[in-house]
Amino acid sequence: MLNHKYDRDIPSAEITRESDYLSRRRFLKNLSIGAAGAAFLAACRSSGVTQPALDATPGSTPAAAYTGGQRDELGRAITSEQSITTFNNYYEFSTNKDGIGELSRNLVTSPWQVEVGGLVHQPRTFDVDELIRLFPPEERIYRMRCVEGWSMIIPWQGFQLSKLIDAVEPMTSARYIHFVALHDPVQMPGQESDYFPWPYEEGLRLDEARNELTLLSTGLYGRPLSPQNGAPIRLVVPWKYGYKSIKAIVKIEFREEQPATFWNTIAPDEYGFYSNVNPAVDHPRWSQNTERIIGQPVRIATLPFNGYGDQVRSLYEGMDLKENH
Amino acid sequence: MRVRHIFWFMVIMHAGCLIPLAWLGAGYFFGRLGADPISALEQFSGRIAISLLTATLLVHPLASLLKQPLIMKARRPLGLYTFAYVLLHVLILVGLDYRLDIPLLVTSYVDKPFIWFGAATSLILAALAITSFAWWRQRMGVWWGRLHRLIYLAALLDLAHFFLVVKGNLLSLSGNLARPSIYAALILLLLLLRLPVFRHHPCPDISTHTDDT
Ligand code: HEM
Repeated sequence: MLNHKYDRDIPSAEITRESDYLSRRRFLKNLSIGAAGAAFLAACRSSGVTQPALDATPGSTPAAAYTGGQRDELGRAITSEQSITTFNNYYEFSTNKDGIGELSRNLVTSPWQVEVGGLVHQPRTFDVDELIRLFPPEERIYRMRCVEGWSMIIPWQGFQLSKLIDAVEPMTSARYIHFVALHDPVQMPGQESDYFPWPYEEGLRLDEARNELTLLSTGLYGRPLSPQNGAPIRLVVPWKYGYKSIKAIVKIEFREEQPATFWNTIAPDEYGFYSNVNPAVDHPRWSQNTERIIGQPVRIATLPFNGYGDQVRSLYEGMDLKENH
Repeated sequence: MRVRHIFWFMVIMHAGCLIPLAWLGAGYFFGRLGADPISALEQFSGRIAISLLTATLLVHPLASLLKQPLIMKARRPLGLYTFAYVLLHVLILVGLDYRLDIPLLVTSYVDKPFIWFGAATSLILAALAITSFAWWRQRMGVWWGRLHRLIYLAALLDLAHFFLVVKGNLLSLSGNLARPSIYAALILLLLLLRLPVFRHHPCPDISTHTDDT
């Protein structure tokens, strides 16, 4: 496995220079990001959004074919599949990133049901295969920024969470969505630790959940998710720190009150409910002003909202983002 | 224990301290440290440093317990190895991770308490390493022993560094506390053993006639 030696040779020119980045931003700003804008963006793959894949085969191949996108809309090269599938946090299995693959390999991910309920008119329990049939996977190349100061660029397959939200018809009183992951200490040995408030749970405000970037993912690099990456279905919220993107979801509940979240319960002043990527708000241990993209040796500046400000800034109008970190 | 035995004891001690270095170096150059080799180096070097610091503290109680004063010979090299790994730990952060971008390093870390605990530990260990030579020992008299008792302070500061660097919350006893807790238990035990109440049979100065050899 010589990949990191290889990665070290990637010229730093591959990393978008600030000036390129700024001009691209300006270009994006000049587009009207309405439906027409979105379609245009999809066509030129400028927002990381590509057209739905054609072969949304149900059942055994729950991920659309990887269409070969190599860069995100900022021009950053996607991270190697080897790195994406072997390096991440998943405390249900191990606090050691290298230990997850082995311990998670035999997680039973099929059949798998997701219970969708709470303040909705059409509560339902879905089979994951059924979700994939109902909402054919599309490809999204997203940056993933971990609060620990590293990041990846990942070609996901999945569907917009908004589609599922529309399908279950939330009541007007629903303001938040609460996500709960599998709790099964037999299969997930990390859950035997009493130091953590299992099961893993996360939450979004309903308008955040409806944002066009918010994805329920079932695959990456054209393959179904491996257990290590959150099989069979996980959340991806690219403008927030990675831990918001909960894995192995079994329950989605619409609520009026803000739900508790895993890391916020453990250390409220370190991990806020919103957890938007924000270089101006440091974590007590990790400065958030820079990051290292996995496979690349140099630190680069971290962007507000992880570079997705144009799509999400309006969600937080009038809010103090230091206070609501 | 005879001199022949202590020879092999020292060989094993040196090997035990050098093998992790070889393993880290090889792992880095052959790309076997996972997707983020720089963080892996940072963390492993830190863990080796605190392990060796604990081992250094263990030498005296072990020598007393086994009534084997010759074991004391391992203390100075273990202390120096600890300091060497601390240096490596810091050099990896400054050189590999931050590529000598000192202004960025400073703005990123000045307000992070865990760094100050690490830095204080490093300063103490540096002072102990420099004064570990016989030349200093003779010159410093009783002050040498007093200064070198700071190793316990260093161990405590380093525990704070470790507890603060892992994810979690000590107050609510939640998070990633298993690893630092193990070191904390060991170090506190070794500290207790140094308290006069627990030293009914203080090994009469095994250190003075063995350390300088
Ligand atoms: C100026 C001095 C020091 C600096 C700047 C420093 C910096 C750091 C940093 C940045 C980390 C976090 C690495 C990561 O999570 O990626 C860390 C972790 C650590 N450091 Fe230090 N450190 C210093 C001194 C020390 C000393 C003296 C020791 C022990 C004798 C030590 C032991 C550790 C340990 C055990 C960890 C945790 C590794 C883990 O996550 O398992 N450090 N240090």
